Amino acid sequence: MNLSSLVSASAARMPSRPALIVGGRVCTYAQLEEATARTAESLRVAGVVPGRKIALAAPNGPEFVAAMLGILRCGAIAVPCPADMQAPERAAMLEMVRCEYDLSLAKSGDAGTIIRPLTDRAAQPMHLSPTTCLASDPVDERLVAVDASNIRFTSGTTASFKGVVLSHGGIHDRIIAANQALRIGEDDVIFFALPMAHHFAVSVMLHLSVGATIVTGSLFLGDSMIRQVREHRATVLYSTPVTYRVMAEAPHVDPEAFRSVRLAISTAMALPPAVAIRFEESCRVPLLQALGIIEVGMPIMNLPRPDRQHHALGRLIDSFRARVVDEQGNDVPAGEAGELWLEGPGMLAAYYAPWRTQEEILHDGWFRTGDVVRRDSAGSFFLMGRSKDVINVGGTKVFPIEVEEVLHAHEAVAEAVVIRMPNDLLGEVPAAVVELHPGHATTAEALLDYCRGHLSTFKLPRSIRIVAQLPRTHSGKVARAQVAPAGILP
Amino acid sequence: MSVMPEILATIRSILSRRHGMEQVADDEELLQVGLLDSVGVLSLVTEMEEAFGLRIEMEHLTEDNFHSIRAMGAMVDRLLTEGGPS
Repeated sequence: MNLSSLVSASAARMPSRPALIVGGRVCTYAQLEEATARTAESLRVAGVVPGRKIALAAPNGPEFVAAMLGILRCGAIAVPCPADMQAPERAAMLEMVRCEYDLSLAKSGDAGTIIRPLTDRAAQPMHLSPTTCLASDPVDERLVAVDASNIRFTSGTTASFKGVVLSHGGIHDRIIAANQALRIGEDDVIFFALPMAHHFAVSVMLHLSVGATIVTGSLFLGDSMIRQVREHRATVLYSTPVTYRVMAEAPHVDPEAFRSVRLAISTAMALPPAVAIRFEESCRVPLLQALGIIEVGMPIMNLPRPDRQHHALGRLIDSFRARVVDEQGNDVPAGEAGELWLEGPGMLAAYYAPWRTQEEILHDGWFRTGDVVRRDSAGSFFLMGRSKDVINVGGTKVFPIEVEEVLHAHEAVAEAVVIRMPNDLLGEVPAAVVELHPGHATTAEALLDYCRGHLSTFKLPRSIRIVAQLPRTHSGKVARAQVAPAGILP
Repeated sequence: MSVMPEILATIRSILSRRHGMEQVADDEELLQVGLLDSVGVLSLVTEMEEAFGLRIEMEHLTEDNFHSIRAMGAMVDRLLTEGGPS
């Protein structure tokens, strides 16, 4: 099966139903289907063959969705990336995933292939350019063999980067599994306040496959989001705790605006109970947590039930199985913390770099998440911590090593350690502690300015502290646990 | 009261350097442009807090304050006058 055919089916059923509403712009299913076909044809004409990888950068909107679906329809593999990536990050990503093409919104003076997915008044053309990989790399048959649809570039460097390969069939299985719990249908209007580049695989595809309407893309400010929820009578809200907090703390919230909402789902980062309680008080809608894992899908949700607890991740949805295990891989009793292992439909097909097959990644069919959880006797899961070394900035993940490598490339820096620092707005943010080479001098401001040119805003260290010497172990390695950011004592 | 040209220039520079929004006029309506997602708005807020040395609270994240570069500038001007740099 090809995922783009799910949208064709929705278009055949209800051509005039809005698929996407962005600001005042409406894109119907018929228009989206036409734009998908046009994009796929333009890509074929430009020489794109099945198995080629296309990096796609565009903001939330019809152009992004049509380009994604067009890439899938012509058998190529999409590598969606956030629109705000800095040039060096983008270059590194293209190289790591060996993308043969680069597709983004056209700028004036672009040479190469111009693709016009949409034809409405607000339509923006897109620009396709081949990369140097096209000349040197043959089609990657491993991707063709696993029926790859997209590679979710996570972030990071060769040390931490994996690139999650998802297949057409795998994503389809995920959609079916998730929707058995969510029951989203063609009458639903989804207010979608997340970057589509990060949330296409289950979420956007699920909504389009059932013929729902997605409202997204306008400025995500408290009062404007609430106005859109009211105006479009949204039935489902889908975003991060940060967005829900912005809505809950907007001036003069009228709970009437949320009357049509039946589900408000929070994902991408742990939901602080205070945010859930404040949102429910202000907007009178229960806020539910859902655990999304790129490699697995959305296996755990805190759906409405009388005994629901605010801070629970939720329960396992049908068709998934879970284990909570100790370091030896033995199941721990209910109530005790352990690593979460999952088994179910729609698992990842492979890791891309270095290439690891599903068989090599899974342990007897189980995916080891690295998340530490506790399961109570009633079957609710609670997140206790993340064993992976990742900083979650408002729902977007940052690998410390990526920021450290940028700092290490600065001539004055001998060693840099990037750690998490609590942040009221975003949950946590990166902070750096830096040791300089003897005889070199620089300031925190100068280092931050340097980082700005190399890193997306959310990856920038919120503070940089220059120290005479970083704490070290006996073997001379930096003792990370003893490193504290500026303003926080160890 | 007119917003100080330096404030507007700083905001223009943040939008162009970090958010790819080039050649945006000070009075252009940004609400329909759809270029900033939720992480984008929060990144912009963080950048503005750092650039101007002030704190932008949740209650400031409104259309009135963010619908154009000039509106953002007026908000910054007001916050700087009211609270002084933190």
